[in-house]
Amino acid sequence: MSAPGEAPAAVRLVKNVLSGDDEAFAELVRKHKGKVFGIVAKFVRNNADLDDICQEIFLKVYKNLKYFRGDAPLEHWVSKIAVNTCYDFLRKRRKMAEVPLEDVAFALSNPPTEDMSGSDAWNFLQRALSHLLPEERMVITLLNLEEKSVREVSALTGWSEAKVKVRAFRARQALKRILDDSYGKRST
Amino acid sequence: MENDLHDTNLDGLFAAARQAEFYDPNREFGFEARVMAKIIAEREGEHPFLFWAWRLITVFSLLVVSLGIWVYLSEPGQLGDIRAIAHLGNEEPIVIAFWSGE
Repeated sequence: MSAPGEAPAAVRLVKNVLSGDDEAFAELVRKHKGKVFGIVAKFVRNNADLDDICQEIFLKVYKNLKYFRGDAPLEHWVSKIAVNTCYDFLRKRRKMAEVPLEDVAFALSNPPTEDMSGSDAWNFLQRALSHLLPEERMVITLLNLEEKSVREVSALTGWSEAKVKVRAFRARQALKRILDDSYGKRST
Repeated sequence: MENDLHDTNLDGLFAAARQAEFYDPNREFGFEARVMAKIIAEREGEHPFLFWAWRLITVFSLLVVSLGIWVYLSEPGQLGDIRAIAHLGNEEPIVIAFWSGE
């Protein structure tokens, strides 16, 4: 656990957590919660889910910290756990309940405009993304909202770069169809 | 694929969405306390025996020490018994002396 890229303070913090120091783990949470909230918020639609998933992520971090090899910065390792937990959430959510069709129809009847606000665009995009497969949604969110590179997405998800590109392509095709439909509806 | 990757409407939508505030930063308030509470609750739930054993370790240690002291102090005859055991080797001459009337 002596990564060349890892700051000594972070290494010390991890060692303290592993030796049973709860305050050190609270410090670790304080340092990384902003990043984790930022990732998770792009996959969930309500605050209760946001808080639950973030807690689940840090619980996983706590339980698996002994496996942290330190060959990458701790932030990357935590992000990887966050992304994988979000993916599990998307898969579970898709099995549990699809987005009601009326809900989507309402969103699509108000297609995005050039001057729309960020939150309106985000609301529209969320509803459109809920039509995609979890892996497509995962890829498109990381590439286009988190602005990660294909290589970074590949490292975070564990999927090959080719797979990431194919999934991104399919996701964009699907989103384009939704957008075209909504613009078509507006023009009629 | 190239055209698809540069769809103006889609890229515009993503650019606009990135300006959104994805969550209320107040949600982070007290988050570490909630996480720690969950971890402690889970730790207690996973190993209740170990948890209580760890908490009661000082009580158990005191109990063992006080029991040791009590046993040591409450058996003054112990040294005599040890001496009697040391004399067990003389049993045979005593029996011979008894039966032979010496």
